[in-house]
Amino acid sequence: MAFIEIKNLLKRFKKVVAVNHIDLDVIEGEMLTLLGPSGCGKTTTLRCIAGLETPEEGDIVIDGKSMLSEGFIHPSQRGLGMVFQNYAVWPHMKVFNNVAYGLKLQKISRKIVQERTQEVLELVGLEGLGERYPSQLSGGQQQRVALARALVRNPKVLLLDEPLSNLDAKLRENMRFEIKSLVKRMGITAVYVTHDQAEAMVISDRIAVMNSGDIVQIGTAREIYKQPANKFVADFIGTMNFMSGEIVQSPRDVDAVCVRTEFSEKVLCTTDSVTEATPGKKVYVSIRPEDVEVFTEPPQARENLFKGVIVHKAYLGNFLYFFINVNGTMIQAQVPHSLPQDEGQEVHLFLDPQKCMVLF
Amino acid sequence: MSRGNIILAAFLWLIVAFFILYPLSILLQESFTITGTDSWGISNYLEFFKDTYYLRVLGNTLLLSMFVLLTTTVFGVPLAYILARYRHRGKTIFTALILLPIVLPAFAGVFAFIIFFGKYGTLNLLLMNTGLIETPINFIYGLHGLVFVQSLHMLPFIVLGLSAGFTNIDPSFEEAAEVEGASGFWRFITITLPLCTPSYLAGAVLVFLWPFTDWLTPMILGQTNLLPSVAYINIAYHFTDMHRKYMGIVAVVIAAVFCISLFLVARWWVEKKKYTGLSKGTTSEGRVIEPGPLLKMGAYAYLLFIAFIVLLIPIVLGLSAFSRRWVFEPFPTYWTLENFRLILLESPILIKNSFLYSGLALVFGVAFGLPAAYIIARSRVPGKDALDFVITLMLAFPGIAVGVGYMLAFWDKIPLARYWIIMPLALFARRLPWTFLLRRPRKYRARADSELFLPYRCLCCSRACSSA
Amino acid sequence: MMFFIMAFQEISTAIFLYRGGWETLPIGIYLNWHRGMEFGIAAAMAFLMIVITFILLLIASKIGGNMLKAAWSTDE
Ligand SMILES: Nc1ncnc2c1ncn2[C@@H]1O[C@H](COP(=O)(O)OP(=O)(O)O)[C@@H](O)[C@H]1O
Ligand SMILES: [Mg+2]
Repeated sequence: MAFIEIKNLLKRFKKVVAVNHIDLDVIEGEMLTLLGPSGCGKTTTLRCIAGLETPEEGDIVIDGKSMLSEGFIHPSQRGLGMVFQNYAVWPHMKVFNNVAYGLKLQKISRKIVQERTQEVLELVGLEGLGERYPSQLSGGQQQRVALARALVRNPKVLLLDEPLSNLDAKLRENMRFEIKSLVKRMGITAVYVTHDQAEAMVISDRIAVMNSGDIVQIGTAREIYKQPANKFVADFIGTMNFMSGEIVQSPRDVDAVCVRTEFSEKVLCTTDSVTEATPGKKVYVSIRPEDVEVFTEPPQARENLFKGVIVHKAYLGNFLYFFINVNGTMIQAQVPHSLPQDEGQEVHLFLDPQKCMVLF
Repeated sequence: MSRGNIILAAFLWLIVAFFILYPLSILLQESFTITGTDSWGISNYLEFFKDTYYLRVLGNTLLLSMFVLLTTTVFGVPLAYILARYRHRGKTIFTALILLPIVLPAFAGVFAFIIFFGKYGTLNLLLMNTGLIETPINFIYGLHGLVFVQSLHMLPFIVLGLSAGFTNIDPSFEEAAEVEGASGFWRFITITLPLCTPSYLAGAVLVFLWPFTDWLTPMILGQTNLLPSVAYINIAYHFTDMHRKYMGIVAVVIAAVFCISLFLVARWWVEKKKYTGLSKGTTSEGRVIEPGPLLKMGAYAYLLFIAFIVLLIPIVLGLSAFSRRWVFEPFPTYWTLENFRLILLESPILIKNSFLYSGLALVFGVAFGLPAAYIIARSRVPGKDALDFVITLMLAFPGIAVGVGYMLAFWDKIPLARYWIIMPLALFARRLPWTFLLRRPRKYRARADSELFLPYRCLCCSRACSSA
Repeated sequence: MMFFIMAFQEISTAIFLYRGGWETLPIGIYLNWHRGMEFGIAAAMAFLMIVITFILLLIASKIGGNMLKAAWSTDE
């Protein structure tokens, strides 16, 4: 069941269209990530959900209640929790008061406010720091204050805008899991914004990939990685070899799409990814480096077998990484086993047709 | 570190020592002198703090300071908020008008308001003509009038500081409060205002110090039992009574010490708490809001009201300047250029002097300011920070203290005060921090955290301490 | 420019130091008020000062940006 429904949302800043008629459903209890390059409209979408921006068109329904169509509901009335990119922890208040601020606004006894705040501070690992000022805390601790503040009122929805982007790498990786388990434990529906694909893949149940105001694809991390909807998604998530080409008529007996590329007259690709294989269409043959197979001797395969010369070879611990020149086209390959060939020597490549995608 | 720099720095120190430290030390020394003897002692100060009259004067001044601060704050907060946050037409012109008192001499305001609000001033006469009142209301003479005039003069400082605060605090602080459930006024009270306190304080300290500096306005309005006026009267009118003179000097020193300490405390505090330099964490640039129509009308009315009062100053003075015998009538009836003729005929020397002295002071200022800025910003001469500090302190120094110091220091031993050159020299010394800032803003601007505060503070201080 | 204007309006320092023939405009204003409550001349002088201030600001603003900026920019 969709807990947050975004329908046909449009937000403009003067002439810039920040969010372009998007539709998005967030299911109850799920953690959905808005992923995309900087400036693609993630923050704006999140701020529309929070009520900090007023969209020009469309509607947002949270828990069955419309936020826009029956009059604009002010952010203070929406009961959401939000973690800002810069934390926005109020510097003039002690940690405790920062966290308790939202609770104090409700008509609750002071004792309960006290207890609940302590509880949340413990939850995020800040016990004993309530009497400090934010300036006396590290970046990671301030981040936890922001998280505690957002969680203290037990909100049904938690919005997080690049909460980890200001932390150093090591801390960032730990916090990913910590935030995820915290949110899952509390059963909160969360919308998480990031431009870091690894972060998105770790933290989310589903990912919505955005590009210049549009949502390009929604799916689990696996779906988005394995079946990217287009070249943009494939490029943004992980590494991908793109070989530009043009669809040609495939032979009758082959169940594959045939593409003519610069390095070969015929590359066979899986049909899964294509809806219309009109001959003459300009496309990209795409394959992940780890799906490229590299051999010393030509293997027993009839199709998609190419010869190339190693340009770079790098040892990266549990695998080798190659840049291979195939008739002028550079193909990256990630090979789990060792190969005797060195830079400048010839190898054989097999591009499994089942793993070659046709993208636009 | 070159030899030239050291010589230059030494030379600057010499100037500072001779034109500032020396007169001020003489001032300090005189305040300790026991009447009729050559010996020193703290008896003058003891007397000051024992005498109920002086204590009352001190209390009055503090009280006035608080009233002025209160008034400027009450009027300044909404004003700054409107200017900083509301989207409306004519923002620039309103800002210019409301900040106008900065460039007007303080005494211009008093004169204008006496003519307009005085016992038989325009407002009273109008009210009496329409039959609303029988006898004139005393709008202006007295403490309330003083509070009014001084508040209006100092309002720009509060407004400048606060609106800088309102514009510069990170919008996400307020947005976070909104998301947490705080809306409107409560958010303003708990988040916006506290975050603006540093910038508010920068202005507030100057406002608070103004009654300790301004002696002329109280005298014109007949309120002489305030510290600077008492000091002035004691020194200027009682040349024969040496003891009263010393007590006046004591009053000057006390006012100066008070100003400097408060200034330093405020500076220290503001440096400690700076919220505005924090990074922006949201896409929206500042929070400019489109107010509802009713609110907008109210805001406009309020702006117009303040602008009207400010504009009264030049308008009333203008009317009065071109008229003759403007008394007992709400508006002048007899227009003439007589006043200007008199000025030009009888005392063109005044205008000439004004230009001459100010011009010379400016020349001194540039001659001092450029090398000083260079030494402090670029070189590593030892003691340059102390130089910076001394010059900055001058910002908070009451003009009356400089004047008295010069009068005492350059009369007997170094008889500089017998020559007219003393005038531009005094003006130059009085404005020393300013000369020195002439070439510094770029350095200040480069330091992001000071951007908001420093140039503005320098401006404020120097204006505030101009004491009319 | 601001420096000049401020020096121009300075009274509290000057009032202790002036002697016959060294009066400036602010002192003239003060004396006129003080001696005879002759508001007309004092007002005219004050008005003259405002006018001069504005002319100076105007000149400054011609050189460097708008009038407001000139009023409190610390640049020349
Ligand atoms: N307050 C604003 N005023 C003008 N343009 C804005 C504003 N906020 C965002 N934008 C523009 O909208 C687009 C989307 O911005 P944003 O949602 O912040 O992107 P993201 O968070 O994905 O980096 C950008 O092109 C940005 O320049
Ligand atoms: Mg963003």
